Amino acid sequence: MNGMDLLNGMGCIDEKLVEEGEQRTLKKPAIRWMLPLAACFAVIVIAASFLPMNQTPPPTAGGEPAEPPTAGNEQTGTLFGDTADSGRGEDGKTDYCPPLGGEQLTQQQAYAQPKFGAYLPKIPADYGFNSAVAVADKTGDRLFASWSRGHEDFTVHISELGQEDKSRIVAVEDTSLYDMSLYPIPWCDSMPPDKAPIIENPIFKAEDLTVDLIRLREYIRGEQNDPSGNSINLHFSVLYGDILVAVTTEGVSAQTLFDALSVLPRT
Amino acid sequence: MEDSEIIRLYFLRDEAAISETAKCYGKKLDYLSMGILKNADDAGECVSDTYLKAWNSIPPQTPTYLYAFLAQICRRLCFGRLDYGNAQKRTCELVTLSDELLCCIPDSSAQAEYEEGAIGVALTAFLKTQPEEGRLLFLRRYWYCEKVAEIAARYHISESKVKTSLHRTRNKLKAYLETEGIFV
Repeated sequence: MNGMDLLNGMGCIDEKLVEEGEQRTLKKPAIRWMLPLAACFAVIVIAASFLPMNQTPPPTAGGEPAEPPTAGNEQTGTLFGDTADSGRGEDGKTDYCPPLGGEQLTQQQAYAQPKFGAYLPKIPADYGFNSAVAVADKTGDRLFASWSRGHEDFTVHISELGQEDKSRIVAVEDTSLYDMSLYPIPWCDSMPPDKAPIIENPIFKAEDLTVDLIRLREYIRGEQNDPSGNSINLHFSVLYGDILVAVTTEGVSAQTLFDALSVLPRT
Repeated sequence: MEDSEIIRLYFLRDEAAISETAKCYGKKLDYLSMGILKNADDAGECVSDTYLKAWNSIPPQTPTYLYAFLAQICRRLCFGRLDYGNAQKRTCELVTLSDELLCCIPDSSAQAEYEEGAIGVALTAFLKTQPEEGRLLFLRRYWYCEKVAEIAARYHISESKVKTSLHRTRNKLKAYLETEGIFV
């Protein structure tokens, strides 16, 4: 009896569970989605209190009339066409099936992807390409790609900078927000809870990126039974203008990662 | 087209059943098989074989959940295509997955052999007792063979949260197998 037997045995579980794994999404704590809603509502109320009913919006610095405030952002991803749709018509019937997890791309297609392709780092040739997925939904457009070499992994997740991401932008002087040597595992004991989301995935501005900075992000899980438990792990994001490139690596050196990230966006 | 209509086509032995199945679930099956095999040619063949197997199985079978039914077939075909005797041919991710599950077995040195079906029944019983979040993450990792980063992206949660949840569920599975006296 070994792990592969268990993995094979997983193939025989109840179909209902498989269907559930396919259809269900995780419920987020109510407070998580209520906060942005409440923030939007507050902005609308404040904006409305400053604008008389029939007044046109004041011109911006460039002389263009400002857009009136809207109640909600109806924009959906436009990069990938129909994949942004839920796949169900008004009558609830499925008129087509959206691809699972977005649009699967080849490596070449990923690098040629119009919006994010230039921000996809060039990976050393001896890494094997795993997959690339372009996603467009109501949370925005994203491009995800991953490569492997043995137990080493290199994954990249590119998106536009969201409002909720801005709190994770760190200044290089504030090493307490990104120096992983200050936070031994288990992080739940060592990281201050209010800063943990920033420390786990800080955002560096592209112009601040150096090899030494990346080295401060290194950590080793040291888990038993994990073949890559003693590999160097790196996880952080880099901001290029308003494009956010999040990288997660196992077994990749800081120098290799710096070489890949410092030349972005490629022209 | 609704699942029930596609199944009706199978029962009518109408070959449009295959094209409708491919139209509706082809991309999902491609994604599943590519995730396991990491080889477009092999993955494509497994998906084609899935349609053939479905054609031969319906009727007499009437799947309650058509996608789950197809995905079960496809996953089994993909695993069958892997050469277990030659570890080099197995994808790196699959080796990692089986290593992760190895630590769930109370006594991995025991040479007890169990039918896949019996293991499936035990795993089903275990997963039904788990909280929804842990169950979904476990399924995405060990049924759909997705990478941690992909799962994190799918559910908009951090990778560390995925890893922590999987670690806890594996520990609980080990405890469950021990208390049930299975595999010891």
